[in-house]
Amino acid sequence: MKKICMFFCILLFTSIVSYGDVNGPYRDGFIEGYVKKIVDNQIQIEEYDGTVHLLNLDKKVILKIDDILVRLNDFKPGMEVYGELRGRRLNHLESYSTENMGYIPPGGKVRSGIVKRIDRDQISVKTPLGEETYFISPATMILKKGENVRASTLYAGDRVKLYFDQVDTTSISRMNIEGNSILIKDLYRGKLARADQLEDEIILGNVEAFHNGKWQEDKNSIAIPYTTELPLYVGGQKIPYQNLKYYTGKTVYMAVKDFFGSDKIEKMVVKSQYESTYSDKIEKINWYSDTFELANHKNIRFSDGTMVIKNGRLVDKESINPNADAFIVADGRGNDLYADVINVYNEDLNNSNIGQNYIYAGRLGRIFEDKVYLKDFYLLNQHDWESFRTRKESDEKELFYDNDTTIYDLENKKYILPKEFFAGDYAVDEETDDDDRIEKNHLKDWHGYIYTDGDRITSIIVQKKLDTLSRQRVTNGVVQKAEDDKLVGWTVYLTDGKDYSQRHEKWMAKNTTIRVNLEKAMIVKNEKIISPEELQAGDRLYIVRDDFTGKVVVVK
Amino acid sequence: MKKLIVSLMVFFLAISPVTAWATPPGFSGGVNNEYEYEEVVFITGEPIKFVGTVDVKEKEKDHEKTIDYKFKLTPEDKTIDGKLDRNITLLTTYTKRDDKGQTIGQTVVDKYKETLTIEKDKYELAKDGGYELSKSNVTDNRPASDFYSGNLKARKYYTINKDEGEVIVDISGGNAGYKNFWGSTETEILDYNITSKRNTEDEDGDIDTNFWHGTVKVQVSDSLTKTLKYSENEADFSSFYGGHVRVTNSEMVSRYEYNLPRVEDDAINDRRRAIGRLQLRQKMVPKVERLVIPKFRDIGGHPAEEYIKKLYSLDVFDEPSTFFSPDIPFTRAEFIKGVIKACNIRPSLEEETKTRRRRRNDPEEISPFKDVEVKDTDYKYIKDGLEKQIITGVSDDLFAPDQPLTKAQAITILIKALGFESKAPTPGFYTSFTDDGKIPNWAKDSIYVAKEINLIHGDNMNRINPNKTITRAETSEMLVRFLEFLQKDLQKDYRENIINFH
Repeated sequence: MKKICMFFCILLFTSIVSYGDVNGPYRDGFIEGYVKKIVDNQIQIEEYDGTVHLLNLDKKVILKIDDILVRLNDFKPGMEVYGELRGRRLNHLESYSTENMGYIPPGGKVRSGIVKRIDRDQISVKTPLGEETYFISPATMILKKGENVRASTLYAGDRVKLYFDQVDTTSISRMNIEGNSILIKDLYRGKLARADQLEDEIILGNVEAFHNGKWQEDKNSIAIPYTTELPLYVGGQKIPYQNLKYYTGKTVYMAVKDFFGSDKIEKMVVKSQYESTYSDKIEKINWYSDTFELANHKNIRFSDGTMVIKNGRLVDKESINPNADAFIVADGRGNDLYADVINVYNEDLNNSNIGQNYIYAGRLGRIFEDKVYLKDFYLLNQHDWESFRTRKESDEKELFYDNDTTIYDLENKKYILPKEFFAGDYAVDEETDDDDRIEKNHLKDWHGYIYTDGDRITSIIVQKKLDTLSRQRVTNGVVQKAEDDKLVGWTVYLTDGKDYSQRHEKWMAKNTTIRVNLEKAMIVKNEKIISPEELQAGDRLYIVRDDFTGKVVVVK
Repeated sequence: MKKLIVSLMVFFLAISPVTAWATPPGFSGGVNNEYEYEEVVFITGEPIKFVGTVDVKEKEKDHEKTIDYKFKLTPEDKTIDGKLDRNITLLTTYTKRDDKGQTIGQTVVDKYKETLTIEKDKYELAKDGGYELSKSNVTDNRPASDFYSGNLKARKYYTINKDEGEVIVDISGGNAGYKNFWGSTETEILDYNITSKRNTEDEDGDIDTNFWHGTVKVQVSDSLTKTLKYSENEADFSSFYGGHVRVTNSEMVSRYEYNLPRVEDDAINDRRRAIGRLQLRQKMVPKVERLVIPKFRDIGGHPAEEYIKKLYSLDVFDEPSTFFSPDIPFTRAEFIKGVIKACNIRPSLEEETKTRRRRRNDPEEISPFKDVEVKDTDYKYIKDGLEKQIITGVSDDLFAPDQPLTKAQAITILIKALGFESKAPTPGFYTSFTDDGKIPNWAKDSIYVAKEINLIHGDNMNRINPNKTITRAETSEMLVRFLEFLQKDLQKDYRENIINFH
């Protein structure tokens, strides 16, 4: 019995040992386990059961890690592998090494292109790969020329670089917006004297620039380089750049950008017939026939070749919208007109519907530690002051302020802290009989011009009396220069100025340079109050002014 | 013997490489063309534009390169009486990491001397330790192009009239650039932090110390591109209509954005600021080179006619017959040869043949592939492609040179030539093409990257058709787009996309 037991024990024992079947892989044709060692053209694999095999490689061996062909040395000891054998040779070996599948480093996917449409958090961008829609999240970092800005700064027509953290996400992680180099500096008209295709340069005669509502003599003859990124058109017909030389003597319209201190043509259109110009409102657009109707009932065709400028930026023809006030260069004869240039000059306080900026003016009825109630206030609506009478306290406009709000006291010419604003006599109870101080000093509520983001006061200037708002109007224009005038102080010179006419409900182009004094103005740029000396030539301004005196200036 | 020495010297001079330079001179944001140099100087507290000349001398020896700059400048505004003389010698030591295909360059200032006189004031770079600079660059040497990027830190100490005070300029910044046959661009972004301390004696003999502080951001870019332009033949009775010209354009641009104290009545007021921007641009005279004229009988009106003509002009195709046959498949050997020629990657074998004569007893060369013989005309291109890891054989010992090329193969070769395949996500991703499942695993990275850099696009159904053989016409289109990427896309990314967004 003992012997039998011993025999079974031995049998059992040996069977456990021989469970690691040395010939298993060769019989089954596959091997699984860990890489133990790599020697020359051989690989040592330890099976899960512990058996170690030294395998030769087949001549046509396929080695793969993560499905990518690799060399034998790429297999490291310790890697889990699966191999297939042919005879006693390994003819297929694979392993997996990647932990994060489809990973790219943060910002590893980049798109660059022109913003076509902005709708709240959703922006459509025209990239070389086609038009794509992306989303801005609260976590999106937005930089304009290296400075962190808010999404509301973005315009349609801006060139952006978008960075994404994942391969297949549409949520933007970082957005870089091109600085002022995107702006169209000038609109030129000139006679083509020579086209130099080798240098991508044209020589022009009788060059005129469009300023203050008319073509003004600029230079007699200049050579300007052009970019060939946008196609060239003659009266709605696309032509190759190398044929430009056949249009010598013809008139050319050019949108010019600043290229490191010199001009560079971004887009040009060759005039085909006769020019007529209009400054009017675009009433209707027919997208089927690509025609628009002006307020004067002129019908004008347009195409992809039409140079469309909006907010100082070149945009696609799809960006024209009804009710836009525009300067139009039409090409043709009689009623058959085609638009060579459409320069839309509407300006709004907000660049897109992301922005929620408003301008208020009114009496500071009550001031609390973090909020102000406006009594009988005015809101700038459609470029005009709209009045709100407040009969009871609940009608009053509630606006909030905080430590980041800039408050400027115009009477004493100094910035004041929120605490001083709260503690000072900027709002008093005028009707009270108990407070001798108020009575004795004839204290009254102050008034303010307020620039807000929603209901939050971004900046406010306060003064004792309210100005006559009915005398004020809204003007937009481009800074020619800002200088500290010896007699009247800081004054800005604006070209291409337009006043908003309430009666015509449109922007009326001015034909002279406008001067606006900034000594009593609140100048807002990127949501901050800036000093007049920070204004740069070429800045586009939105101004609420009383003739010569600027009140609220917003740098666009 | 004398003649021999002279002729040898002439020979060596002739073969010494003429480096197409695309590096902004010095670290001052200045720009130059063949004739003049200009830069803006800020150390007086006011931006003053200087113009004059720069003389650049380069010496390269083994792993060292010295560059001598000699600037002689005067203010552009002739009413200012001033002068700027500056001599700088920069020494760069290169460490070649052939195993990684990378080069690391370390630059220091070897010698320097700088004096600036403005009216009665003299600013001089202090003698010992007055100019310390450390710059380090890493270059990734890829077959079709070199890409590099680096960082810089420097400090300059100027004395004012020997003992009246000092101006310290801290410089930090970096650069990014690329260099290939079709173009090169280097963009530097430098931040100057200027602090000045100056003692002045007032009427009573008391000493007043005047401080001011300013910052300047300098962005300067030097760029060279070669483009192909078509030029028509003005005469009608000629054997050809027109041909291509290769035009080499090179220009330097620079932008200074400063925040300096305001100068009021000749006194510096550090409390009020003068904020502004200055831009400079200089362009060289373009170089033009005429190329051979293609005269094929069968490409007229073909959608790819323009591309085929361009590539033929560049000797990328050496088709001896008058029939190009645009719609037949391209072979693997032809394509690798085309890529190497288009990027002007000089096959290493061509260089070797010059020195080969000396070593007659070398063992005979053995082809790595059984189906490509050493004496084949395409052998050197295939060998080079293999060495540079642009291509692999269809198996260990077969290359299949005459097999038609598939689209996936063509794309992989182009992306490997750029060295961009490493920019694909880690494995396990999908490309956006509808036939993503058909893309072979080895081509997935390349196809993904090629789409990202806009080298390829899908067809009407957004398919990439990776396993379809690619015709000669399609290949031409792809190669021309590849060259355009090397010329234009890179330039824009390294210049406009850096400067206009910063």
